Amino acid sequence: MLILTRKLGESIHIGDQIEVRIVAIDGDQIKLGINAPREIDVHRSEIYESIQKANNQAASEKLPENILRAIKAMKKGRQDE
Amino acid sequence: MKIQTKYYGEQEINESEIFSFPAGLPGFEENKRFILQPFGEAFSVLQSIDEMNAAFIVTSPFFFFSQYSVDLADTFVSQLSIESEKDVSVWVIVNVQNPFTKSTANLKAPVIINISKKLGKQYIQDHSSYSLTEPLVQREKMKRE
Repeated sequence: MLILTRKLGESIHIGDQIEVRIVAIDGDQIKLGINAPREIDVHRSEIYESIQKANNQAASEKLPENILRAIKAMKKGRQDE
Repeated sequence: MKIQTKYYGEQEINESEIFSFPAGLPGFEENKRFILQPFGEAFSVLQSIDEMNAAFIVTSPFFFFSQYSVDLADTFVSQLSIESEKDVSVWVIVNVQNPFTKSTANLKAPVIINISKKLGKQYIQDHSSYSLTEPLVQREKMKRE
């Protein structure tokens, strides 16, 4: 991993379109300002990782036949009855 | 074309059925093409064309959570080339459990598909009050049944 030292107000460029600036420092919290094109998604790592994990769990199960049959038999609007 | 599917074995599909997911799905970033296969009336399978086991049971959040709403950010709307609300189809991934009453839905990160452009993406909201693991069968409804 590349490690750079920056001061408050300084920034780095990633490629020619992404800029990350140190906006504020308060104890162990650092506020980052990010300038990036629309097609680049920026997320807190733990949020992205939690969704990766949820997707992995949802796809991993080899579901038993009785559950699959029950799901298939479920009708729309059942919850409103 | 012929593909291998997790729930229906080998299937013959048309190119026109394929939705493009340019970013894949988190955890399945390499899978960029999916189809939706009906799975009974209330569910569907979001099946990767390229990897048999990348298959998700999905449902419309509005069947199970009538109050559900999602507000798409402008950047996301432009990423999916959404021009009208009519283009938008909303799905949530179900983590099916045994027994089924323990199953949950990921309401925090719905899968959004632009039906007219055949483009899809999972919508990741850093700030959302919805849960990744919302019980599909609500407690009070279970009691009534």
